[in-house]
Amino acid sequence: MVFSSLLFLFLFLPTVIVLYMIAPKKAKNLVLFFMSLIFYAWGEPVYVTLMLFSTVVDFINGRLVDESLKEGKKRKAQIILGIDVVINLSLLGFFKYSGLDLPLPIGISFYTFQTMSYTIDIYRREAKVQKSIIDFGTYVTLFPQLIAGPIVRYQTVAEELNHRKNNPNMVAEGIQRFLIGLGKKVLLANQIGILWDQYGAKIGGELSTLGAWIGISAFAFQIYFDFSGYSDMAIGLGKMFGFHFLENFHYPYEAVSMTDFWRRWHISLGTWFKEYVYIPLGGNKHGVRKQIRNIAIVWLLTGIWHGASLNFMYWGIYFGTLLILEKMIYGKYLEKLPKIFGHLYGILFVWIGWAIFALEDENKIWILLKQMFGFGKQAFVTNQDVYQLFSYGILFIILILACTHYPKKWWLWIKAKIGEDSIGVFVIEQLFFLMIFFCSVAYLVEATYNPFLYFRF
Amino acid sequence: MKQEKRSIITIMLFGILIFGIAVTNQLIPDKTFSENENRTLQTKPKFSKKALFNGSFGEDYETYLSDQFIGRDQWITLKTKSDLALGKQEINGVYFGKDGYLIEKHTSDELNQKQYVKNKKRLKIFTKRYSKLLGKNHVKVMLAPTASCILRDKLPAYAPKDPQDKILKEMKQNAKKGTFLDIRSTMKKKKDEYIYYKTDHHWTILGAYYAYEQWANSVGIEPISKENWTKEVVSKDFLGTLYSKVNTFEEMDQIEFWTRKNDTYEVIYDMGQKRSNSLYERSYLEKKDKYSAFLDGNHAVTVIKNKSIKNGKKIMIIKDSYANCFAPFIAEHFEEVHLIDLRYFNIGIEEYVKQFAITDMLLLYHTMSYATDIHTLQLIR
Repeated sequence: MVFSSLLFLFLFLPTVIVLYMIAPKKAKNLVLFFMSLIFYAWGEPVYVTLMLFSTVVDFINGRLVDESLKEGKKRKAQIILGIDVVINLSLLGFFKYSGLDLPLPIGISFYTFQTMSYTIDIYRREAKVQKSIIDFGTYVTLFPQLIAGPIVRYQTVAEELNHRKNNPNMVAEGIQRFLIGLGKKVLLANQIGILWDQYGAKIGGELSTLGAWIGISAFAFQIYFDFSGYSDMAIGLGKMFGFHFLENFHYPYEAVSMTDFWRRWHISLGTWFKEYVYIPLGGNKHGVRKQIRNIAIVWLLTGIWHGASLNFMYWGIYFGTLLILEKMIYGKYLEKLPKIFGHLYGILFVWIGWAIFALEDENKIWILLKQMFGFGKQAFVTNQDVYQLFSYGILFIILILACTHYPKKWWLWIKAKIGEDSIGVFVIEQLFFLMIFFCSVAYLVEATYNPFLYFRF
Repeated sequence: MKQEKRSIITIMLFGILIFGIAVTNQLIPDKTFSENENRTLQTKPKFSKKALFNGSFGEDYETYLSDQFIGRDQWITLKTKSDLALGKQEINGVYFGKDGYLIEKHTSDELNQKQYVKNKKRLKIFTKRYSKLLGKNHVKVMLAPTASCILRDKLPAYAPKDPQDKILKEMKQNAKKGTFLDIRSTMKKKKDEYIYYKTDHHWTILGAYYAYEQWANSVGIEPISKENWTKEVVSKDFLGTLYSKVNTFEEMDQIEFWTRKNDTYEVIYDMGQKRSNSLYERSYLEKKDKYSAFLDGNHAVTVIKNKSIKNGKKIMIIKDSYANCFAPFIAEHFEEVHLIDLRYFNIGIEEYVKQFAITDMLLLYHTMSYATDIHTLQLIR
């Protein structure tokens, strides 16, 4: 099931809310666990067993690691941890990379990473062992973050799993955050996605230089609003039920370098690799050579994490290379230039990255890049492009504004002017959220077009 | 405290909306058919283990929710209006043209190249074979351009190129010389008249009349002049198929019936399954699908017998729905008109021609419909 569906909004969510409210405090996790299984099983009735398997394995291994450490048997704990990691990675490897013609279990890349983080945190003494399988199951399967992240580390929510406080302010914030995410996904990502589909289909055919840029920009906006919208919905739903998940995006298209971009894009994945791969490998503490090696490993893995197709690996290598170059060679010069150069550099190279990411067919990647940079015999601009710019011009302006921090800044400024507590501010905010709600529902009812990009990962 | 009160209002609003809509959706009775969308709606799917595990229950249930959603049509209108506010110039393959025209968008992507090549070849074989059989000038082909090809000045600025000019050119090259009637220039001369509906993808009866004039002249028949027809406006609130795709309109359409005083017809549908003595079925005027008032919509075989004519001439029209409002004109010149819709027809054409002693033939489709038709094998069987 996905959040951006009528089924979720008007059947699943009301049901969970009612059950959660009437359940006594002790049974609240059980309600979340049970409903999360239904949430998952709706589209994947068979694979739910796989997720339960992964849950049980890590629950047991976590306890074994904990016991071994308490008994002072560090070696044993290491072996168990090793087995745990191997099991998790084999699951992921088998279903994602084996090349067998199996449908990918939804969210497997996310939940295997989460369960692994638990056992590793236990081993490192960064988290306490979870005694209840229900509570642990709730953590793994928690529907808000189950199928597309953010990747919530166990230590982030450990406390809240058993002792969470909830108050109206938090629930209201959660609702508003959820609606913002819903709007991003349904009203922005899906709509600009239509344009990318049209241009993407033309790669290698009648695509102009400007058309290539319109197309890849459409993709860049689609993937950002799709994914960050989903994270917003997850964070919002989390708050509605009393959980604080960490932020997953921070205006990534305002980045001034690749290093900066990766601090702002899919933060939970970056953190995971940093915590569980980069730092254990030694990070930057053992000289430049090792650091380069470590960066290379992390980025190769980041690429591969996104999918079995080769283009994801190229994408990882591409960013790894840029990050190494930035760190070793030109990063320091870039910082001294006026910021605008950093922004241009950031957008240009992120956009090139999307061309690699978006197309599984290598030939098409080359063709698109050639068309973007005018190597080829195509026209610079066609009637079709002008027509599409007329049709999508306003949406593009909204998209550009919406991925900067300015709308929020301006609204805070206005709020400060009229008075934070004034009734006017309150009414405008309510109307804004109502508008998002009604428009999103309208687009969902019409739903001729509601693909969901992050299903593939 | 103030903040908390406001938060509670936010929560209440959201709660009322999702619970309100959720409960009403469960309470309102299911509809089985949408007249507006002209399709059966998904009703509550039956639960079974099998359906659950193969995923079809889940899919059907989601379709069910959206099909039976309270105020479905109004939600879709809201979506269209917001699209328009954002500057969109087409929605669901429909252009929002000037002067209130909704115009169906056509692109060459609609063509399946294999089928298209076949259809060109089959046109060649068909026109050759029947010109030989029935004689020169007894076989004609008319592929009517749709509004997007003719009403260019009504399209949004920089709208992508319409593929029909190219298709018509290629079709003409394939058809046997002298059989192909290109009516584009005729229609373009009349482009400021009401020759296409504003909310439907068909031509109007007036548009069909101009096409008839050109056809009649090409086969050496004197067309009956416009003044000699009695025109009756039978509907002023027609909202056609293009309206259904976007759920909004600027102007409703008007439907006219054109008749002549002394006509006496017998119309036989599908070999006698239904009979009538009029070319028009007024009962459809009360429904959404008003265009079907012309010859009762689409049938495999429709035979029109004009009892006031005895000239031994019988014409076969192989056609799509564009021919339904064209038939009244041609019926003035033939003892019998046999309209054949290949989608539902499975007797060989040649056999039929011999059995009923057909003397003339006309292939009448709108351009895109012939170019993409998957039933053309029938033409040469």
